Amino acid sequence: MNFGRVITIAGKELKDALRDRRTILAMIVIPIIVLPVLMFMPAFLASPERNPVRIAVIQSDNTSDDFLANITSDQIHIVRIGRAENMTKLIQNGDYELGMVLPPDFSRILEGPEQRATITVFVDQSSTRGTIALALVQDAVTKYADKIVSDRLAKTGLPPESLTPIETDLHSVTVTGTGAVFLAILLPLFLGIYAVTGAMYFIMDTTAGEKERKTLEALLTMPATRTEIVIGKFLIAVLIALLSSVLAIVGMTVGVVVFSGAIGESSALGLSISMGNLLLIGLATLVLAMTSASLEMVISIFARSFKEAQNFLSPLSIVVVVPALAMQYMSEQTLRLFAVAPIFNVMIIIRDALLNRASATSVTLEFLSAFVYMVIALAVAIRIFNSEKAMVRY
Amino acid sequence: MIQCDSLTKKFGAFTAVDQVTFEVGNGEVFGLLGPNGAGKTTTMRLLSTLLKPTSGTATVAGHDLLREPQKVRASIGVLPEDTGLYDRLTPREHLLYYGRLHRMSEDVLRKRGDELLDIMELKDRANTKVGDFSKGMKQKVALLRAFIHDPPVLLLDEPTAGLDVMSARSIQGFVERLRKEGKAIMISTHNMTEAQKLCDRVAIIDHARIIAVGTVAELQRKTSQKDLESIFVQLVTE
Repeated sequence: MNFGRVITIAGKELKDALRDRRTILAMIVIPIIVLPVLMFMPAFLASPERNPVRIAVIQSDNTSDDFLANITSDQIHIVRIGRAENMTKLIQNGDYELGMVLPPDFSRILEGPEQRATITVFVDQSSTRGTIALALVQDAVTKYADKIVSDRLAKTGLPPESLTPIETDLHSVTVTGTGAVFLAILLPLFLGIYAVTGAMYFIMDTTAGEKERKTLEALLTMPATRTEIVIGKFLIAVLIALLSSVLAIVGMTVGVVVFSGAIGESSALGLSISMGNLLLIGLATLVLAMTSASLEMVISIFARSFKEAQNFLSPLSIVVVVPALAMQYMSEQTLRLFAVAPIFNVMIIIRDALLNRASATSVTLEFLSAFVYMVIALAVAIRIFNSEKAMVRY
Repeated sequence: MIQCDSLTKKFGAFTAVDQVTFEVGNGEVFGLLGPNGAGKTTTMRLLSTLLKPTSGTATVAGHDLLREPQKVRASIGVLPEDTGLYDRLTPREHLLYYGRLHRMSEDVLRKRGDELLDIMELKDRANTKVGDFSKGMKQKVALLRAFIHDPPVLLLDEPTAGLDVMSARSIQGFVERLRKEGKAIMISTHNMTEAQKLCDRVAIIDHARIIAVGTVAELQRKTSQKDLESIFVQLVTE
């Protein structure tokens, strides 16, 4: 194998890819701009801190004024409306996120023998803002009710503890914080998706696309060996998949910073990863890009046209989500059984590195299996490139 | 320079090229004439090592097709039926890319690239992406790509098919020039006027077999026909 020729092929592939708007879109624009915006924008817009929920209230009299004053906050905006208004319609039209009808003699009921007032709440629970409004109102109502209860207890002389005779004292044995657990779910998923989808368009274009446009025929009459051609193309596929994964992380970080607050605690993960684990995650991302690029190349070279390659490869972006999500529900013993499954193996490394529980033995086994898949896939790709039946359209 | 010895290619039960034997010498333009599907392109693909012969072999520039495919590829310049250019690359980038694949030194490559672009009057458009080019211009770039490494053998599949008169003349002029430089040139065509004008010798191929080989004058004597078109029709319908 002539390394100079491999570099020549890789250089041309990179130049060609960077001039292709669709590759740029898949590699840079989507991971760094579109997805973070899609992920964080709805939460940002729905956030009651920036945009308080509007609650319509029908009062029968002013005995509920104290209650309303107590539940009003920066996030809850109360609007009193007339009794004749159709509450259901107002909510359905989106004029208000939630509606409340307060009974007459509200304070007197609470002080009287009945002791319990009923508030009728109207809400559309299929809307995010409706759900947020409901949670906020329920929280505020509970606080108001707790105040009444403690007043009642004080009158009877009982301490507030008498209502909670048993208390749970939680001792967490999690090595890392909740931030790491949160990331251990998200990061393998995102890196997996980007490693698979980031270079997918490029791979289809440089294999099945070249075949379809007949540019491959001219290339195959050059003195470059089929191995040199496959390796040259593979190098750029890995570079694009890797860049796309890294940019996805950058995009997510930017998303969190720009829209911070929108997703609460995750902006302050309180996460600390050792340099060793960070390197391990980087290496795992590279291996993930290499394995997925090699697998996709085989499938794509096999296709006779770009469209056929698209049909073969598109399901992969869904398939990759399965192990990432399944990882959360599997016991550690079951998970170990999948330690040598393609893609899955590297995702496990990333998760274990984040949770600081990666062991040398399992990491070696997982990396080794990933390399075996890659070598097999590349060997098959080169073999297909050598087959005149697959490469030349008669 | 090209010696085909009983070259045969079968695709399953279908024989695309059957026992084809001919020679092309240095400084000779050899035309492969035949109707569509006669086996012209398959013969070209066999000689450019894209396909492996089912039986028989050929030597190209002294290298055996089966034993030294790499060396054969280094000695040939191929203009395929479709230009096979990258739309997002410029003519200069094409020449640099293919020249580097032939491991040409960078200085020689750049100098030769500029000379060739000048000859084909493409210098002004040397840095424009070929996706914006007309068919004629693309064909010129593809021809230069085939010739960038100065190969002794050229295989040109339908070099002027579908081109306007000016582009066709410019390509034919270039082929003349290469002949004078002593290259062995094989052209597949069904353009009789072009074959009569350019080719020193022609082979008529029909149903995968060569049915006649010779200079136009020899074929005229053999068939008692004047122009190549009539010679061709008579031989193919016999």
